[in-house]
Amino acid sequence: MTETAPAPDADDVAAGGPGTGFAAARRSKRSAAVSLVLVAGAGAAALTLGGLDPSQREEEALVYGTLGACIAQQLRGAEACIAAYKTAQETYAATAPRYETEADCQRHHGTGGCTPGAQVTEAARGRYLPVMAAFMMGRTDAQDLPVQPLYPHAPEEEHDEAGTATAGHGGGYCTGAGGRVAYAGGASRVHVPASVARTTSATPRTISRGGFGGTGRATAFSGGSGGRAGGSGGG
Amino acid sequence: MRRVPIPERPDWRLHAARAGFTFHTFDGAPYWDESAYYAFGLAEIEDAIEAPSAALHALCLAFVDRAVRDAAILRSLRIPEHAWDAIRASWDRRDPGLYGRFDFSYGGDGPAKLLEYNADTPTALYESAVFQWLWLEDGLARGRLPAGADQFNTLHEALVARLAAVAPPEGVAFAGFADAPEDRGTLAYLQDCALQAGRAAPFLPVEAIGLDADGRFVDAAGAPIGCLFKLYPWEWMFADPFGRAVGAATTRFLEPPWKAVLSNKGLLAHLWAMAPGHPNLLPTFFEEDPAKAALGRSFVKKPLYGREGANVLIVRDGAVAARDEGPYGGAGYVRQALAALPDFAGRRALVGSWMVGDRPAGLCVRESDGLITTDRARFVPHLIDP
Repeated sequence: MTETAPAPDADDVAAGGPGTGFAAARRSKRSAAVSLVLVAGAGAAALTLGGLDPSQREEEALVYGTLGACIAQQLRGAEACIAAYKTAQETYAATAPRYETEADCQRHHGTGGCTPGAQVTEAARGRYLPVMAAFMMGRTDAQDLPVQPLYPHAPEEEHDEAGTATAGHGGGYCTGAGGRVAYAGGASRVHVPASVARTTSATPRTISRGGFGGTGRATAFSGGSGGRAGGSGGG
Repeated sequence: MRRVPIPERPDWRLHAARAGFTFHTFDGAPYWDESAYYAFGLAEIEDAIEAPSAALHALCLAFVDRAVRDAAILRSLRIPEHAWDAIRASWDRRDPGLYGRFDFSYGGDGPAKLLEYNADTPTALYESAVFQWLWLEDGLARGRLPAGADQFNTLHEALVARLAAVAPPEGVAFAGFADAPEDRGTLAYLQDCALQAGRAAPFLPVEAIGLDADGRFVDAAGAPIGCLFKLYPWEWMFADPFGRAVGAATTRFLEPPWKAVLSNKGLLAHLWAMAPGHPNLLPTFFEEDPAKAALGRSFVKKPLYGREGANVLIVRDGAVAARDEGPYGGAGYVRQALAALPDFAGRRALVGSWMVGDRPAGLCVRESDGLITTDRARFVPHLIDP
């Protein structure tokens, strides 16, 4: 949307300052044009649609909890499934996020979503790893998507694109790099942002999250004002 | 400055929907209110608002330059010590700011008096920059408003230009609370401006910001964030667990950490000490300062940190004239001379003066029924008389 102010009319033309010798158009005090590329029409919801922002472009991918499920569905050949599963398992052992404590791990991956590191690889002894809940591969070879192990994602951290907590979701996953894969139980085909599908972690990454926001939640959402409760802005 | 009642456009909600203005009504109460407008003379805008805003901003920058290396000042502002290095470093690098809003008590007679500087996370931006502008254009086109009327509002052009000048080529991540509609609307508009400035501008819930083992802030996919716009004030950032990681991180912030020195009511006491008698400043003292007695029995007590009028107490002739409850105030107060907001037909008007970068860029007026402008205030458009 672009709206343009009309050109200044004759009334807006005034003499320039003393000594300039020019008649200058009085400078308008407002923008000549206001254009909106995202906000107009659809509102803020449009911001999460693909295409507006390259990082939000989506890839179609396949998510399977077991090798058998991949083979049985026959969307990809059995050989491709076996190769993907093997890659996912190797990647899992080498790059799964490491946590110092089981509680840290469960905060991100949920109760029952973690296992002692030594059960996965000797290199992770003494740490806690999420379980590999599923693996993700491209719908076709041509996409050239990396195979990724997927981990359970704790419900309390689960937010939809608008950031609203989605209660009672089933099967939300995250990648080793922290990207989220929304997965409705049963469907193997998922659409994930390209940034999530193509970002892998080559080495185990220890990313902590949730370190910003707590003070604001505790302060601005304490309610009771009767007005536009919530939020950070100094309105 | 006059308040001019006018019938609202019967179809303004349709215009709002078309323009993506999603938060014009809260809990059934109007926030956008076009049943009146404020009319200013050009001299009022230029001499009483615009020029003083530029001068006060310059005074503020001079204060920052002094404050970042003065432990006594930082302590007086209740800024935690672990944040001092990040604040000073951001100022020494001259990390650019994006925008801010001065709030003035001004009614057309006498100089505008600075009430506070929202230099860190001001909202009311979209409705000032866009919907107020559209209101004027539509009113002129339909002949509902005086032909040749103007508006002090270069916000949109200034924001796009400023983002083009200061945002890094790889883009800016915009963080805030996704479930606060007004904040989300403000962020959506700034994302829009950033896209128009040629930058990628993804949204990131503030809780989704991660910190990796190398001390870098990362986005939801684990990618390092080069530049983060946060609609989440610095005092909360610094109080959060990740606050201690700000100084060592390579991430640059909009607004930069040095804005914490300005977006703090303690600023008002320091400005008064720097420029006593300044025509646009009100005598202001920290609550612990015995000099506050000079204000006598009429004053306003404000928390150093606080927004939307919360926890503000107005005392007139020794009696409480107004009070707004809220969650702020634990970190101390200032006491400011009372400059009651002007009364227009029973409404109290607060003039907001926008800064983009170091330049004044527009104006907004919000109306309240009481002396304190709270989050129940209504946004009323303005024009400049032809």
